[in-house]
Amino acid sequence: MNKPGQKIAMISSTSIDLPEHRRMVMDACLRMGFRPIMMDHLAGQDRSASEVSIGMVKDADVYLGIFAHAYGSNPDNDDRSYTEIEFDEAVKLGIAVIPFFINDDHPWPPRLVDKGAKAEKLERLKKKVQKDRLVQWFGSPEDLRGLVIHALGEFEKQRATREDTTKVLDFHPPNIIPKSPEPYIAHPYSLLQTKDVVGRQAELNLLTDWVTANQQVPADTRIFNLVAIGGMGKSALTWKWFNDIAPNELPKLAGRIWWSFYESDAHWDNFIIRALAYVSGLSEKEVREMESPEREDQLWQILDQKPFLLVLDGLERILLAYARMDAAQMLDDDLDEETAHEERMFAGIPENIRETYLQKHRLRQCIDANAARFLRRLTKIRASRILITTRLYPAELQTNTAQPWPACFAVFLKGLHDDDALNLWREFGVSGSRDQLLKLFNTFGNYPLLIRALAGEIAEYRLAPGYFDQWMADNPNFNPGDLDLKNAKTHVLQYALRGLPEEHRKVLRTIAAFRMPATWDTLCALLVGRGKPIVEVRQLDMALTELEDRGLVGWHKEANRYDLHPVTRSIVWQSLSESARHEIFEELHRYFETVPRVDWKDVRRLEDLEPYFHLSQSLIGLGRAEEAEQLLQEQVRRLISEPPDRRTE
Amino acid sequence: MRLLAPVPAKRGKNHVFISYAREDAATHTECLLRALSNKAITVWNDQKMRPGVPFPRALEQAIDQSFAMVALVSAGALESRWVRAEWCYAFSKRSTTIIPVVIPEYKVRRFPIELSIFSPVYLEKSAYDDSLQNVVTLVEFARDFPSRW
Repeated sequence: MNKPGQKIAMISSTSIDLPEHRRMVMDACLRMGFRPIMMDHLAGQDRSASEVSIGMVKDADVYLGIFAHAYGSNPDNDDRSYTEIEFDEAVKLGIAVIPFFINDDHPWPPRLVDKGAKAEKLERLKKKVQKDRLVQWFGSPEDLRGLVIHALGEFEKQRATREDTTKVLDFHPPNIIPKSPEPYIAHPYSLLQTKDVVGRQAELNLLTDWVTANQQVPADTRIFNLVAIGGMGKSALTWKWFNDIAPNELPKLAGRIWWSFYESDAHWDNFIIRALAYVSGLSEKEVREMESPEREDQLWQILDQKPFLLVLDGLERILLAYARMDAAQMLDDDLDEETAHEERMFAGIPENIRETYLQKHRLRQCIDANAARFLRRLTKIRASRILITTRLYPAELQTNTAQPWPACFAVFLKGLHDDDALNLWREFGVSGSRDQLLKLFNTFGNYPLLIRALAGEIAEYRLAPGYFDQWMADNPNFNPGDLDLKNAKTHVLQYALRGLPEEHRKVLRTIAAFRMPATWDTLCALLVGRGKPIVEVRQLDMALTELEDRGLVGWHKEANRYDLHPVTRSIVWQSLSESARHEIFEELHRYFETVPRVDWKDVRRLEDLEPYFHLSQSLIGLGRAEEAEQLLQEQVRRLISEPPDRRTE
Repeated sequence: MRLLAPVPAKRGKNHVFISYAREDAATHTECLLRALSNKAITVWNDQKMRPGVPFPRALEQAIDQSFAMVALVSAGALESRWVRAEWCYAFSKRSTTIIPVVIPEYKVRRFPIELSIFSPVYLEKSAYDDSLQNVVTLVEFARDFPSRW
């Protein structure tokens, strides 16, 4: 489903010979804010393949034709291949056609080169495509990706000039609530989405045991808590289980919800409203008209009676300890002590420290008393299951002696098993003996975020790409083994960021300055162009791709937004000098001063005022608090006279 | 087992600033003062201030020297340019942790925009002491775990 106003790119090509190329083109489309469609997406349609194929072209705003050495198959009633049919249709409809041809120097297996009649047809088609049209030539999948990025950028520029459109930025993911049992992914998991989960089989099995055999997890468990520090992979493994395993193990589910409290619009109230809209089938508007206790009650009743799976990702964000503006910048290491959260306590604490414990564990209580009550109520539901991922275990689900509340189960996720850690490292093609590597990994607890980041750094090491020994020899001060765990982590991440080219660092710093995921449009505007760190859009794409591969940047494809892991964000931001931060805020300010903002009459939610916040935040960062205040007050006055949740058209 | 090991607050930041509107939040401020004093936390409020002059240097200094600001959200505060100026100024001092606290009488479902990126604590009539204790805990946390923004 595409967002309102989102453009569609039709990717037309043969498929068997070009899987990697098509994947690259898909990603390029998503990066540029286009929804890619192609023949692979027609499974399950009632219409004939050619009808569907033509229908796709009709829906498209732009046609991307990828031509290699195969003509492709054709329908029974037509001599033309699907690719040619699609091309002809695009020309007939006057849709923008952007063709890409394979270069002669692109390595290509002979078995994928058509011969005879098909080769002749392909030659004719290529001539037809080239007529009156500029063709771009690619020498590799990556090359093609860059060309598509550039071409779509140019297409957008021309369209913007033609239509003189003033684009209002969309800072929030689309909010589309599907009909159950289709899963409701309120906030797709973005971090590390580009990589598969490595290892974690024991934890995945434990989750499956929870809903099947109950050999390890008691059958009466209703709330499963996966607890870990940031970067350990709790969300990634939960996402995998939620998507790939749960539907098979729980085939009779009434529906599944994925809700992430990491998102800026993910308030507790919004969660109750949207979850109820999903499970009840009511519209969001109808639910919003109910009183708060009625909503909670109805949601509880339905979850009690019908089997839903509900994932609450990043629950720590609604706990007292995170009720701070710097929550995204907070380092993990001190939190356990500050909040009485050490794992050993969960077995129960002695009487003599109970009072101290109770003082500290208050920081793990929900900020919102309604949320606290509802969490407790959830322990009593019968039909549904709740899976929580959290940095801090919520105090509401713990007894006064620190044990998990009845019907709650807690797993503290640790570093990867040695073999999984090695597999993750090897995925980057980096050398190193098992003993040598495990010794290193153990200094930072086999922490996956760091393994990925460091492997990415060494894989790209300019003097000897992928050679661990050489990298170590050239970095004699790299010594995590001499440090305690907390400092070892920072030390490793600092080295892992060292070899990044300046433009990559600039991308990281810019994203770090945002308190919410940055959009592609914003990053382009801030970073790309004359006098800016990056000259062309495709270079920004390359930088982001590398940062994604290293696990440093998460890409939320649907909303086309970019975020840093809290650990990375914290280190990147804190490594900046005051003047460097000032410079970033200046750039943010220059940009947000000029972007169109949502007109007051169109404001429906507080979130719609987000651009004002970015602007005021940049002003504050520049020490211009009074101007920020003035800007905010202007909006405040409007809010006071006409609060958005009370307004009617 | 080490449970209580407070990290010293940042140098020069030795009190908590309470920002409130006298007309409808004075009682809650008193309760909060008592609760914080019980924990030996120094509080700065507007008792010594002369009203009428926007952003006097003394006020700026008081906010500069606070490790946290408790912003009591009430109808009176929302109508007071004075109070909201304090919030905005504290917002600009990124080393001051802001703790918005909504008083029980404030029932309107809107929240001051300059505080809307924070999660507020609600003082609840039915569990007043407990919710007050939440505020104290957050103040202690801000002292022991200074803002990094």
